Amino acid sequence: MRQWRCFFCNYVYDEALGDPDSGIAPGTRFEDIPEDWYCPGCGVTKADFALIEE
Amino acid sequence: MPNITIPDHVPPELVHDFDIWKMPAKFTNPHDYWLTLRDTEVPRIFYTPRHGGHWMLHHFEDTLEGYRDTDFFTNFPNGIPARPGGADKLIPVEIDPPEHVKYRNVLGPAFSPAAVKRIQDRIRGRVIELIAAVIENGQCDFAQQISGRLPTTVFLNMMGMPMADFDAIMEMEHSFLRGADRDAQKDGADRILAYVSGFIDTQAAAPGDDVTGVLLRARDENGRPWSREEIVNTAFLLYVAGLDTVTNMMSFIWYYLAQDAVKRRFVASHLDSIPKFVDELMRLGVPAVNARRVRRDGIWRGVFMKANDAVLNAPMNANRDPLYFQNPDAIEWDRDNARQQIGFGAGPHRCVGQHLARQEIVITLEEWFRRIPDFALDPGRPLNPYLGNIMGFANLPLNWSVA
Repeated sequence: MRQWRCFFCNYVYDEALGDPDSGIAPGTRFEDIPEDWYCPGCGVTKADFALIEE
Repeated sequence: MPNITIPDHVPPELVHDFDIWKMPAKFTNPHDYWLTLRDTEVPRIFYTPRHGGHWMLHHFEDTLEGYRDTDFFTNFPNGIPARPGGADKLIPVEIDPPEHVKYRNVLGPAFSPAAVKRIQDRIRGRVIELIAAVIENGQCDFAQQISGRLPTTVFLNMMGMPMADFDAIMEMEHSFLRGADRDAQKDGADRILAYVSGFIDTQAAAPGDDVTGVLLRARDENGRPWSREEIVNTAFLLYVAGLDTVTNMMSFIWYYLAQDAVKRRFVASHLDSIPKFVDELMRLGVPAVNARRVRRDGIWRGVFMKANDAVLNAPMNANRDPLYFQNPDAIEWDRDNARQQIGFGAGPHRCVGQHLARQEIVITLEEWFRRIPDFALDPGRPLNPYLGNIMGFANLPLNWSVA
């Protein structure tokens, strides 16, 4: 499972945890999040996230 | 320099006199005035004695971190100087995390990409109407007739407010943001608050299917309805934050395009790609600065600040920082980090209306360039620029050839 970081607010999307408050189940791969999802921290879209390299 | 004492904790080498409310007459474009901070020997983080004294963050990395760091900075009060009247506290922008999350959780869905997509046809229809009203004239005052009208129309529509109030809303907004003195600004702010309060009260019994209804139906995490004060203060923020900001971001973009025929031809021949390169235009079109206050004494990025010091984030300069954006004053359509522009701020207080603003600008670019691919500034008419926490042009006279 990977993690992705929001450029603007540093919120981390952890694929293992998902984003249940936004309807994204634990285990959801970042690529599978709907395009209209937005960052729970600051509202930006998926395009503003970058993969956190191991 | 104004005759006031510099606080003891501010070293003289970090003092630089800069007035965010007034620029020398030789400047036409507020951005040019601001960019003197970049293009002269000014400390990376400096203190200006104007308007009670405040720190200035104007480099990209400092400004980005200034937005993100809600541990060292509080968002209240949000203006320099503090707002003269109106709501006691703007919700959610003057509420710090974690409390502000409950408000963002309500507003977020109302201004989400999906919510904006649902109203894009209405926005497009209004844009087409506004352009149709001026196109045969071969000229217009873009700031008065296009960019100054679209956001207010969209705001009224989203809030469920009557379109008949359009002119009154514009007048109150201008009084608040551009009033000649603090008394005029306070009068505008207080009248906006009275208008918003009155409207909320008329809707309370039967909330509609609009953003006002969203606020009236809002509950906190314990199921408690928002108080009338919370609802009114949030509506007040949406009013004052969503009108002149989008207006001036659009005006700056058209101002820059009006002076560059090559860029205009590019936009006109790439209408389908506007959503992809609009970030580069928004990077240059920043209309607002954002104030913070220091929470506690401490060293922040190498500078000692004291509790309650005022700090101003200057995103229009951050977006022109050559250490982050190469050749920063140029429009470069293939710039790979254009999306990282911070004209909408950053951190948890990044503008909740960012997707709406973006969509209004994209649609207006598409419809304008489809009909008016070439245009220029009218050199014979003044722009009447203004400064402050929001900056821009009161007028933007453009002309073009009519077939």
